[in-house]
Amino acid sequence: MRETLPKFEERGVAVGCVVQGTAEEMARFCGRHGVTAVCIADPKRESYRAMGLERTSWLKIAFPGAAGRKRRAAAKAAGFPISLKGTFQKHSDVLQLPGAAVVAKGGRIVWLHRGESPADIPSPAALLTIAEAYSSKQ
Amino acid sequence: MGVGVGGTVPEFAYALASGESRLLSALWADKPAVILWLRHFG
Repeated sequence: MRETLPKFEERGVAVGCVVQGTAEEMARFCGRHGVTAVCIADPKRESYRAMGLERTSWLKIAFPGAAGRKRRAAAKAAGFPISLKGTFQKHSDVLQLPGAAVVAKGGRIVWLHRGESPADIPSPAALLTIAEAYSSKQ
Repeated sequence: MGVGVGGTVPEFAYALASGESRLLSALWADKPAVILWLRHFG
């Protein structure tokens, strides 16, 4: 996402990355990756629940499937290997599933994705394409 | 089930590292926004 951020900015699309954890944990983690400005700390996971993002099972964590393995390998290759310390932080629910939304100016949700597995989240490039498509309709 | 397409992202106040707080809706006040809900810091 860090590499794609300038492209969102160029196209006039704001980006927010909600993370589980306190503001301090968020600042530490996101600061390390240079993306503090777009990170949003949600230690109680209120927004996750409000968006209907579900929890997965330990079985799916242990056996992530081909897509999950591919995503883990890509993250590792990009310099972001799985961190057990990061995964098991106090305010982090390991079983929480991810999600993404494109929100029109003013707040209406025009596109929504609720992850069905731990790795089920669109790539930044795909999100950019989706956001552009909806922006051009407005 | 949560809010869906056509609905509005529920308002949510979040804390900044500085101690200040901000509303999620500030993100899309004057432009469209992409919001990601990530799993964890790992």
